[in-house]
Amino acid sequence: MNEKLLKFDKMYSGLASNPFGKNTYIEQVKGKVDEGQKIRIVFPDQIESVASSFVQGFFADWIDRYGYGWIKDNIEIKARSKELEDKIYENIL
Amino acid sequence: MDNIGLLLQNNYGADEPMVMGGQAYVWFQCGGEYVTKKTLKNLIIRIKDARRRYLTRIPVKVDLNGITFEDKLTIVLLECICYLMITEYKYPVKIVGIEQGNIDTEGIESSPLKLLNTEKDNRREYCEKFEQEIYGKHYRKLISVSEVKSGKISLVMQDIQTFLKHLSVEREYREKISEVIVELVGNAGEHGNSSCLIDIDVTGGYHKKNDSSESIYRGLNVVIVSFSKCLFYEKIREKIKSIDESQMGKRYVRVKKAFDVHKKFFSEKYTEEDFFTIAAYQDSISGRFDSSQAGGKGLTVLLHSLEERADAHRCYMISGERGLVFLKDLLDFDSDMWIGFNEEKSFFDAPPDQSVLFESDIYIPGTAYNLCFVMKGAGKDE
Repeated sequence: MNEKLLKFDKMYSGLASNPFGKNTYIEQVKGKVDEGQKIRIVFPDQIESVASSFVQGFFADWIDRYGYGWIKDNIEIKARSKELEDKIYENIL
Repeated sequence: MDNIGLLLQNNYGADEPMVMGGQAYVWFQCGGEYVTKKTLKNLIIRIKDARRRYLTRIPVKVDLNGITFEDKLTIVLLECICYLMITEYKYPVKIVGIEQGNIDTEGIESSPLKLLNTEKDNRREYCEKFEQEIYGKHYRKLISVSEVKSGKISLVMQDIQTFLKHLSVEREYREKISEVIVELVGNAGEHGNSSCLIDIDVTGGYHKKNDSSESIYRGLNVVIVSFSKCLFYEKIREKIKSIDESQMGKRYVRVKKAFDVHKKFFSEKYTEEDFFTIAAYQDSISGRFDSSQAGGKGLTVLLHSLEERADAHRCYMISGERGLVFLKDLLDFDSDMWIGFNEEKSFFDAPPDQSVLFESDIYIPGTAYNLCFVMKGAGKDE
């Protein structure tokens, strides 16, 4: 399992926008995790809400390359609450 | 505000006789039961006529005649026309006869239009208030296209949550509302590559005539407007028509097949544009060309999440000359999350119900939303 803690400016407590999600993935995750192992994506505690557009942009590359099934089997989401983790998952799948 | 001039360019009709105020100004007086989008179209025609006839910038005076606006979007569109006249055409504009609104249009109280109701030249103040205001029960923000496309839109979501928190709107509801708004803004602004205006007002407490429980109802009126040459349905139409099926995700292939079926339903009342508007609202469907597999969360899914909490609602969108009503009883999905906007709950085999489609009295270049929710018992009464 490799873990990636996402980093955001302190002014952010919510995340939205498909291009912002895509850029976050490109800048912080793409090529920086071993896709041969399970991956844990950690949203920092400051993040209280995540809109579906951000989630769709963030995971688009993996969806296109590997499909939803791969994400379900290989990606673990960690966020400040179980409720938020479930919501992020719902918005991917 | 980007592309606002398109609003005047795209609305035209037969010139009505000019009513002049002793050659000193253009006078437009509203009549009828409500100030409607048809009224605004007539105003646009009058303004265009005046610009053609007179080289000098004679003042434009609009007398609302004490008549109520039909809804919040109509108020905001008049504000846009005035903003255009002031910022781009440099005309003096005066608005008189402003009446107090009802639960749907109480936002007139916080409208910048009121600043044009005085002898003082308030054009600068009008533009400032048009572009941004977070005060009391009113939230207004003009968001640039760079903000729409960047993480800054996240801050707008936070702002809206804070604004609604101060009005004691429940946490779950304010999170849903703020998400719906930023997703609609992101969609309209990003696809149209244009700035986006958000206006939210929360009305005071009202009682229902036939409700003996004495429950308090609050109105939540949301307007989102983005002007662009690109209409709401154009990108998904282009995507469906131009991409080979072998390169499409499964859901896009199903939309393409549905299009072939729906061709036989097309008429004056149900057009190809309507079909692609509804297609764009489907879950996991996006007009973006950068990915044919991952679509967005259906905007209708988001709207549906709100209406479950509302007592009643009057929500619609307009793009170009076509409108779509988000009618509460016709917002159900089938088991695979497709929505047909019909009683059959079928996107594939039946046309949408006639009651959800309409021809707009005003042409909207881009996309405009009027979302009106009535929330029972939300927040404290004053």
